[in-house]
Amino acid sequence: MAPIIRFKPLGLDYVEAFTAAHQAGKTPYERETLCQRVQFPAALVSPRESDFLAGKRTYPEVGYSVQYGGMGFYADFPRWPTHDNPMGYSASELSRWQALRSYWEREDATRQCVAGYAPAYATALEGVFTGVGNYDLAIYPLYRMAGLQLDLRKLVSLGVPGLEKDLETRRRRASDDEAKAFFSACLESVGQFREVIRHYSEEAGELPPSARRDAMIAALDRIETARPETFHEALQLVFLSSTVTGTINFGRLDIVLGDYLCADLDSGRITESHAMELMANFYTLIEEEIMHWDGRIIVGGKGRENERPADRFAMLAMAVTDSLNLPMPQLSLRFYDGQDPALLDKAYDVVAHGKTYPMLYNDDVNIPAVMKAFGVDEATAEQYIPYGCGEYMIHHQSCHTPNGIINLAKALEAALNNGRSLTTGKLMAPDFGNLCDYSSFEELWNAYDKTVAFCGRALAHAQSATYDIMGRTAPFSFVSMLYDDCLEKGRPLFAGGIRILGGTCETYGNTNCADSLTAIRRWIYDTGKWSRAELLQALRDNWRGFPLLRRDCKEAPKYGNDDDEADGMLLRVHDHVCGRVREAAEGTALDHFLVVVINNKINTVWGKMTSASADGRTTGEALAPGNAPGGGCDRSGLTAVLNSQAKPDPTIHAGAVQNVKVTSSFPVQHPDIYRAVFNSYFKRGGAQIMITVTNREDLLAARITPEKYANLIVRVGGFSARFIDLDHDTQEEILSRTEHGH
Amino acid sequence: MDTDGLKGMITDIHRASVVDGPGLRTTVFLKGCPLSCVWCHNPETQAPDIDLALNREKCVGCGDCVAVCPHDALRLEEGRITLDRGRCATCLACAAVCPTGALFSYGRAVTVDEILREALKDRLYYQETGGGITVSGGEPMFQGQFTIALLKACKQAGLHTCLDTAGIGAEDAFRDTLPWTDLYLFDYKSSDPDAHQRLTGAPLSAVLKTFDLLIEHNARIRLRCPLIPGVNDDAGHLRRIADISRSYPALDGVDLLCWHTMGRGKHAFLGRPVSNALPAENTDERTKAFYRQCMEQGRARGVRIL
Repeated sequence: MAPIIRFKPLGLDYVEAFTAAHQAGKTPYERETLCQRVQFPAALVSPRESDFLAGKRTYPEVGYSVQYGGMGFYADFPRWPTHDNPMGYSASELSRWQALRSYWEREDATRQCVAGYAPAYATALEGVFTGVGNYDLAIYPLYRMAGLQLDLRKLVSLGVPGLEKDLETRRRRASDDEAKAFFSACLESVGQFREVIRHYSEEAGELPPSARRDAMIAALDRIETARPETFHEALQLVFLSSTVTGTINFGRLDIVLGDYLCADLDSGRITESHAMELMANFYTLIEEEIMHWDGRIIVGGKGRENERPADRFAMLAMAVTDSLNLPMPQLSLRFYDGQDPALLDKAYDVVAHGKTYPMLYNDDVNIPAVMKAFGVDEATAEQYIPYGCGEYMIHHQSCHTPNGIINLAKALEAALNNGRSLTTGKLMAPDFGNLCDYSSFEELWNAYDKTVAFCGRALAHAQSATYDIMGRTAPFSFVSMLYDDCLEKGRPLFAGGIRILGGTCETYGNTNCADSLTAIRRWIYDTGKWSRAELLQALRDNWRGFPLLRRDCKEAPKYGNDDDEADGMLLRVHDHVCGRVREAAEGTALDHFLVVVINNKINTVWGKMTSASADGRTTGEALAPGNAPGGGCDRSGLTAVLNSQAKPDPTIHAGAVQNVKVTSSFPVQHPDIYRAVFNSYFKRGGAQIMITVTNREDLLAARITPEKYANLIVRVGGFSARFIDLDHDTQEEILSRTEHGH
Repeated sequence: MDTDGLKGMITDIHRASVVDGPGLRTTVFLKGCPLSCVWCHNPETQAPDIDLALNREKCVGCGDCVAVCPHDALRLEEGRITLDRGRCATCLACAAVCPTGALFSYGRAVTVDEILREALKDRLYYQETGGGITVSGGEPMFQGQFTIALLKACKQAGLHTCLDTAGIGAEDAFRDTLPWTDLYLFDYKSSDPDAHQRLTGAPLSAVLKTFDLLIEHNARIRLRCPLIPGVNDDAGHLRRIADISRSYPALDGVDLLCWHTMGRGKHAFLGRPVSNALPAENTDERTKAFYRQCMEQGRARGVRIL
């Protein structure tokens, strides 16, 4: 496997040069131009003999990025030398580093965000804004501009010269200075893009001669000076746009590349197998360059003008996924009633082979849902795309970066215990009382409600403040010019350019919270079998001394079994958090603030820091992933879990992921039933599903002889991974999930 | 028939089954069985009433059960519980206080409506897959009244119905199932009368009599043949299965149910001995290929190997 060079430090000279450029710039545009000249080509990584495509890069210890490395102008201090860890630097060099550190402690955008948040929240939630990664509180902000996705169709149809021409015209006609400055910065960024292309071409020239190398050089030379004409050239241009912007999700590539693919195949310019080779190289580069929770490629769905060619690209993309065993890219198929059924059929096949892709998105549910949740018309909603771990955005029209995370199991923990952790006593939220104070279930709910509302407001303000800092410091000109409205308005993304300024909040522990409330209502308030004091003590002591109470809590109805009592509580929790988070946008700059019920590994990591919960979970156990049942809690079969997962209202959030694990013999022995089951799920309102096809025996064997199971890929949550690459806790969490289809 | 207040004793309602008839099905397992097949993989369905079960591996030796047992049936030995079934009156006081679920019970009484409500949750899946409800057991006809009422209610609700039966029961009762049963999953366990009696505890003649009755009434039947390597998978029996499948054009086909060891744990929980004659491993692929070959040579129709 290729060495991972995504985050390679470039050293003191580079950092000083970058810093000097930043200091020299008088405006954000100037800073961007000057700093990018230092960052590139320094951060570019040479193509290899085996590559068809150039575009590898690294994210250095200071840089300019939307997300990777850091946000905006960033300094990634954990990768800097210190006196304790000098990384080979001399004392005098370390003092130069120290001077740089003092500068970037003021200028790093993340630090500016922390300082800029509403002080009211900073006081009540001590540690929240600086303690990201500790996971001992109920909420954290995230500092990133995630999920930005470019109008790549515009990029390939105009090409570099077309973009320049358009920008020059706009600059000439611009009436206000701000717009002129913006267009100039855009032109600069295109010029730098051209330099990057030339740099890669020169580097390719150093590779040993081969047809592959020559094809790479030809493609690079072509796109430096003209719009792409071939599939290879268009693909190269697409990948390089990711290289220079750090945008790491590719959106609807079928509408971008379908026409090129068909023209090349139909004219005989390339063969199907060569197209596969090019795509395989593209996939491999994505796998090497991009973290496993990004790298989305979307195919299929409504709102594609060139549907037939796009469908051919979709089939190719799925065939390439099928032919490789990579946890990347995160190929996702959108489909609707009326689409060529061959696409969904192919998707079921590829999933059955254990690839975890494509993930399936039902347009007939999602488009109306996006219309309502985002407040947009149908044509706009048709351009929804899932990215990252499963959040929705509108392709090159919106930013919906998830910059807040909330753990609902912890929010409930706070409401049960005077705002404090049951285990450590740490203050996590305002004190609204404890379980013993609540004489009815509704009183408990009321305290939980106030806790969640408080958390939602804090995160909405944080997200709004982050956009504000970005608007004042980081124009992201190259990204902006490939986003709708920015050029028309003459403003970059976060300084008024973007059409929809959304915000999203990732929720965790939804299921554990709901199942806990179900158990509390049943045993404490409805039957009175156990007292409030007993439960509170049991949770504080991680059930020690209360085995029967724990058994009752475990045996209480659980979400995921199509059970009205348990599912009803989950719906209440779901509707509630979606509503409170949405309301939290009031008084901020956000067009809206929406929940995303996604997952990655945080359910395991945050679970470790979450006290025992009344669903029977012990302290430190993983939380349920996304909108899925707790591990092993879905005991009523595949249809029951699918029915449960189809229940939460999809029209009030910005994406929810549904994980299901199916035994590998099921699609083989019952191919028709396998398809029909998921078709039925979609018919009854299922919005999305991601299916891991595997079997428990393989997972267990992989832990003993990992070398034999390098190809075993599982869906963790919002990302897929080689099972053997996962840490022990995450492997345990995957194993705990019910395997259906026996 | 008035089904109000009629209750059946079941062990489980199993949703999303792919092995109990066509399509995706909800299978209800009724308790009570007049047979005692040596290979039974649902031993918890044999007795008509609630069973107490003990999973010793889950026992943590707390002894709480010993204290509450009014019949002195439990002892704590070497840190784990042992159960004297001769003394046990199945009052379940012990299960109520067992913190780990090591002591638990099989069986609960339910109404036809309760089952129907659960079954209807998957109606859309039945429509898409050609599935429905399967009444199984045990021998469902052991609770004939309840089984007929359940089949009728499901049929009237528009569900496809299967009756999974060993063919042992009152003739009239079987007759009453006819209007409400779309497909019989009819067990055929041995072709040799002596072996049948020895292996299942029931006469083959009674089974065949029911089979003939169903055939006479043009019922749709799918033959279900559990095959236990070295026990009842002899060539003669396999040939006879193929013969039957050809002789009755109305027959829907044949399911060959291959031996697996999944039922073993349940025998232990119930304190029942497992016959030494049973294989230690699941049926291997070579044996399955042999079955397939026998069926092909016998020109059997509609064979599924499950």
